[in-house]
Amino acid sequence: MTTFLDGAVADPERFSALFDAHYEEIRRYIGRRLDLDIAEDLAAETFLIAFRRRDSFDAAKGGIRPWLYGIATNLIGSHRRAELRRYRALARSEPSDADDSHDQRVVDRVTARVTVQKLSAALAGLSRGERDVVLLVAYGELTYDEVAAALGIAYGTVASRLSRARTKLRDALGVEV
Amino acid sequence: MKEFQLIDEVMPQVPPADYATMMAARARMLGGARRQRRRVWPKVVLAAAAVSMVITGGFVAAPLVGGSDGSGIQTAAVPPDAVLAAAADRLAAQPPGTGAWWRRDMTQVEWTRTPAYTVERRRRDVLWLSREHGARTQQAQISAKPRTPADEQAWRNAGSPDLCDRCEMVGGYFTPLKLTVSPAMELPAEPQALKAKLLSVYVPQNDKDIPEAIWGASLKDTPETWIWGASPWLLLNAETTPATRAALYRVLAGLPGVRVEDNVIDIDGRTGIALTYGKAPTREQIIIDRDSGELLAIQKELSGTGATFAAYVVKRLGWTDDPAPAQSSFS
Repeated sequence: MTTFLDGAVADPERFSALFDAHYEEIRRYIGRRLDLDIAEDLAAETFLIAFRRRDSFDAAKGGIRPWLYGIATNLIGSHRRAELRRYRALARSEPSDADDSHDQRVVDRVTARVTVQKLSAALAGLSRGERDVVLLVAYGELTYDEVAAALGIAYGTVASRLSRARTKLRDALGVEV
Repeated sequence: MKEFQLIDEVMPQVPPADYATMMAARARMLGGARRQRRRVWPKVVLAAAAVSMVITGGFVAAPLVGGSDGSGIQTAAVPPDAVLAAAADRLAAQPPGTGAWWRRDMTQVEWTRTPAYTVERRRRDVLWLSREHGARTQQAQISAKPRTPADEQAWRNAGSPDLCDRCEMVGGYFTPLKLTVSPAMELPAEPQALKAKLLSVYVPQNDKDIPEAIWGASLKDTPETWIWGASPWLLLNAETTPATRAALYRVLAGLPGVRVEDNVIDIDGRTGIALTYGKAPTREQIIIDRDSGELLAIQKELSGTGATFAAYVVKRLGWTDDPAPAQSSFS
């Protein structure tokens, strides 16, 4: 929690504390969507942009985390093709002999074995807007309100995108996600 | 079960960031307004670069110290403390370096005032340190001349006397710290630990073994200002790691009476961020490159006659595989 920074983001000293508190999770979020070399760059870019815009941060429009996730998601958007390439490469990758290894986790949901390959293909099938809301919830654990704040869209839009995405994912995977 | 937990569970995780990467990101942020987008190299190119690094072995070229020309940097929004913190972060992220010798190449500059004119003398001063081979020094006179055209005219009016009666300037290559007990390279990289270490080897002010300091007056005060007085040795004459040097900046910035000033220009015209102690006409400054955190120069101003200004202008500093001279030289 960094609510103590709300309203004090403009202070560079305290902004350093914000970096320390959130760098790792922002880097992890981007790194799960893009290759790590790009993710490292974009994570640094996220905080550089946030630092530059610190004077315009408005706590009334949402917290620090949605603000940072929103900047990061916008940056990811400029690498949409790279993200899709990554999903397609993962979808083509050979399943490991050890299905529960680090890179090849599997969730067995009664009727379907959901693998990295299947899930990557399914994520590639979502629209950019759908993927953004799904992954902000899945990786960032943002609430619908926070997703709306992060992306600057209405709550209802978040809900409808998630609904559509859930349907697409269920159809692709054969299991509720 | 949280929403979309399946995605979180199945998709590949990300390894944690290494410290250097995080520090670089932090420094990039605090560097603030400057946008320096790193090009994302294809993996093939990165692999080729890794191979070539292996082939070239441990060679590390000590970087030429450049300073900032100010053209690409917007400083208005960033307070000096943040600029220094960012520079220290970047320096601390540098590896200790490899090579057989640690080399510090600098120019000593001194202004000496006579009743009629001021003389500027310059000497090249190179220090080589090696754990296996000890130390070598190379000192050579570069120039001795009246400082300004007005000084030159006054000097001519005085009959053009020899300007080199004080050409052998100060150059002590020993340290007031007991670094033989704790090698400079092993000094702490964390500011509080470094400060504690320095204070633990604090030498009483009246110790006759203390050589004349670059900043002599500073040595005769409290233990904390003694750290300020000892800092030129740690920065100029000891093979301290980048991380220790960065930690020293932070220690110095926190000392009583020390302030951080931005856009300070050294005698060679390079702009940096400075740690400043005292006020003109008696002012001491450590000037640091605001991008790399490397030391640019150490300067002091004095009032009255005699030496009125002295500077140690760093040209190169770091580990190198360049061969050291077989013997020290002095000319």
